[in-house]
Amino acid sequence: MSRQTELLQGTLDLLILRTLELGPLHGVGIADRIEQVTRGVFVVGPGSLFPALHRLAEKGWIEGAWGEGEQKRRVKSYILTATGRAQLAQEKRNWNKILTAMNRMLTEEA
Amino acid sequence: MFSIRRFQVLLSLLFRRETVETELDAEVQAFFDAMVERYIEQGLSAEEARRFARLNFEHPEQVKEKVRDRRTGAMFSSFLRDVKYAWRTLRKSPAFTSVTILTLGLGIGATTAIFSVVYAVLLRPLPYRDPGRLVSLIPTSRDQVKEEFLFPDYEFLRAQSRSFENIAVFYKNTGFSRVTLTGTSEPESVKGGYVSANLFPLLGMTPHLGRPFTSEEETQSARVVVLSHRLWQRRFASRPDILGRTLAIDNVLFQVIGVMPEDFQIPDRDSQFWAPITTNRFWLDRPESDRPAKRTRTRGFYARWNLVARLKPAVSLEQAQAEMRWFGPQLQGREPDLNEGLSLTALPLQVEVSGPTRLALSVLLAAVSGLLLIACVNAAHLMLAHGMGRAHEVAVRLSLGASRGALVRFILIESLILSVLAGSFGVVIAVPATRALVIFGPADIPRLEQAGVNTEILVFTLGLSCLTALLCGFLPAWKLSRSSPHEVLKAGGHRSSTGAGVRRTRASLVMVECALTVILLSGAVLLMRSFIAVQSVDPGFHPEQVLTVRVQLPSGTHHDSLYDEALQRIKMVSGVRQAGAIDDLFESGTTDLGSVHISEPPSIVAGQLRVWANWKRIRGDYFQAMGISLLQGRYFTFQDHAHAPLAAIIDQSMARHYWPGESAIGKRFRGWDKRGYHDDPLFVVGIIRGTRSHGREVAPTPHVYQPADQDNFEKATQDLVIRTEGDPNKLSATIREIVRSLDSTAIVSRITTLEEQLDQQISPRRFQTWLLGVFSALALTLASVGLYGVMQYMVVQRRQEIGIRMALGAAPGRLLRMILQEGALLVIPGLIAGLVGARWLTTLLSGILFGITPSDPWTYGGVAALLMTVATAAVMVPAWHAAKVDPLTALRQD
Repeated sequence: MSRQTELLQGTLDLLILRTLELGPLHGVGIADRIEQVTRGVFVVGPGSLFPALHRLAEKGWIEGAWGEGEQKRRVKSYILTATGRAQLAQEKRNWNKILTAMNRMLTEEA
Repeated sequence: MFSIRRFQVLLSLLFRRETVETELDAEVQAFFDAMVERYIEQGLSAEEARRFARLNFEHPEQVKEKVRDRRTGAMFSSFLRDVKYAWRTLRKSPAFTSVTILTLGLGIGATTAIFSVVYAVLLRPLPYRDPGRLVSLIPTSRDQVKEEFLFPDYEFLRAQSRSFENIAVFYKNTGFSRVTLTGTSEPESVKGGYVSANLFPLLGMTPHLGRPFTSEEETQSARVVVLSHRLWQRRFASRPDILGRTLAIDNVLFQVIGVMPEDFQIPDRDSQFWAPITTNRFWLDRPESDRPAKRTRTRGFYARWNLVARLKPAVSLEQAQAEMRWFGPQLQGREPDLNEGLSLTALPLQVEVSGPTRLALSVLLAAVSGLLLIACVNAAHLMLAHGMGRAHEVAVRLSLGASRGALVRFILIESLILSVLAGSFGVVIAVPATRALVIFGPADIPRLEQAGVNTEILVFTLGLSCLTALLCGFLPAWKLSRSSPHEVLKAGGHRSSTGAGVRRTRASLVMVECALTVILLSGAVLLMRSFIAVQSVDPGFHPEQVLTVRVQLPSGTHHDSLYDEALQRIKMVSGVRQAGAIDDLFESGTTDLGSVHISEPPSIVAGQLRVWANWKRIRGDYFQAMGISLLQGRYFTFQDHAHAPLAAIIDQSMARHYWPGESAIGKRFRGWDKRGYHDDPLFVVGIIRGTRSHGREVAPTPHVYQPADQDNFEKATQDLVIRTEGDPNKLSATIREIVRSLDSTAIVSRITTLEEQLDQQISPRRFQTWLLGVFSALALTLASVGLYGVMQYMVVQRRQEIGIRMALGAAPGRLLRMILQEGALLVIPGLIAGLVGARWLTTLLSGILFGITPSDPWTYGGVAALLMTVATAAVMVPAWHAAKVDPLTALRQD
């Protein structure tokens, strides 16, 4: 997802926030979920994922905590914070606006 | 955007860095381990799974690096990392590091030391309230002689001028006063300031103990005095109950009402007390309308007052100067006789106080900056060479993906570390160097004693170090940003040191060094020759083995008989050849200028009736003691007593000028005479050679000498002149004894020899010359070391080529010539540029040169020859090595 990641960095934030809206997850899980739900359109590698995760954590929209995951291994899981939730709602609205506008543009009768 | 979170991140970076990194590591590693496991579950072997993971995803280190880059404070932590790494690499090349630090440290230290002096003397504002608004008002006569004001002119200016809030007046040249402390009978000779009461509020400085005097006290001529801090410490042991005590100044009792703080140095650096102007003996001589007879005396006689003023808040310096220009003719109109040709200017007080030293100090600062530049060039070259040694490593890093920006930053950081260390070393040298400058500096530099390495200077040093870092690091960094890692790796580690670009850089560096060195050397040689020229000026007398003594008697005693008796007794001391006295040996003020009216023959001097000459009164065998030869006529004898016709001895220039082509002996002229009416003629009885009584550097002025018995001026203070056989200092105790035995309250001071006095007069010049000489010698050393380094490096680099040439049969002589030619190509452009630059810049020196012009060709020829000699030596050594290279070894070296 090299070229696409650069173009859609803001989108990556939205993807992560949305993924965490449904519940806490660790790094691998987030990547998997995004790949699955978008049916392979968006594949997020660690080189994009972790910087994004840490950036979002710095902004206070998600929060990471170490805990025990499957197979008794130490994993760092992230959850969506209250501010994150608000940000997510905002981003969703923005996205809808863009989407509607693009649709109108692309389907307009000549 | 600042937030609590980011602050927390920063804090955790600072204090919990290890934990943060470990956690990041664990998190990223966990991802990869999970991926690997997944592949294993899908059926791959452990090894294949790992390989697959490596291929599919970026390396964990790169991932971590990306996370770190995006963090808050990423720049700062990478900066810290660079610093640590740079520190390590510097430690690994101790030779490079120490030589660079030493070179730069020397340059920075010298510059700091000079700058602390320049700062204390020229730049630091005066310690008064709002010092930028203070101006000194200066009258100049037509021939640019700086004068002093007449008192009525001061009153006129004060009433009429609109630019100034207030104008204060004071005496500058009242000479030394006798100050005796009550309770003791030991008087001492001390300089004091007689000032108007409004000076203290005008300057905004008040005594730290007691109070200043008021204008009522000034009007009443109240006998009150304010002491200087030094005087209070020295003679009164800083006693707190000083107020109310009395002391005798010139035999008048004054009461102490205050003590001024230490840096109050008006009118003079050495002023030790301040009293109202109305209490000074010259106060009565100011011209007043009810004393017409005396008004035809000289301007110098009346004009003694100096003015300092404060600009009104809304008035600029230019406006004040314009107003002063307008006032000049006004003052001329009021006193056409005494103010003929007068013009006024206003100068900022700071400039006026430091005036004569400004040029010399600026020259020194420029010179030391040149030295620093040369040191920087040397350091830049060292860094270039050091950088080239790392070209391979840099190429590898670049091809692994390091950004050029990061590497350039690294080089600059390295340069910064070196410069900061050099700066600290520089401060360490600068502190004792500044002390030395203060101790050995000439006495005429105001505020010199306040020079020291203080906070402002340290800030300057820091700034200078950063600038140096930029200068030195610029070149290697720039070269790096343009290097191609591809070529370097291909060359397999051979640095492209003979490439055209490198050659050009080196050539320009050497050129800059040579040019700067030539400029410095030219300045130094010009100053040295001026110094020698000054010393070889004939002062008009023979200064060897002459003792001079200043004697101050209390006023009101029988001076004539006392001095005559003293001279008699001194002449009888064995070892004394001649003895005489004069009222002021090396005069300092303009109050001795008196007018001379030439009465015969009138036709010649029709247009020049008034001439200014120095009038001196002598007694005893003054001329013989000084070794001033008599050209015509005779010396004064006892026949020139009080009731005889007035006799005068004049100097040769005056005789030639006013009585050309004939002997001036027997001619008459008028001037000052005892009754003050100026109609008694004086007869020329002798003509002597002119003397330089203002010091060797000042052109001689006409002098008129009178025997002391024939006039009625106060003679309380005299300079005794005693010519001895053998060492004059041996007789100083005896002389003192004799004087004291005649009057136990006489102050005997300044016992020194004529030679010492002449020596002291040129001490400022000696100071400048010596310093500039030291700087240029250092510059020459640095430049030649730099040149040597460059040539040596080049020879080492071209070993292979040299070996081939030798194997092909080239004679060592040819090789030598080839290397020398290379060296010449480096040095000669620099030499030429330097000569051109020196010719241009040394015109700025004209103010302090003597007996030589900046365009003197011998100087430049000499400098060029010196540089070529040293350069040849610097180039010869590596050239010699080149010629002795064994071709086999050279060829074998790959």
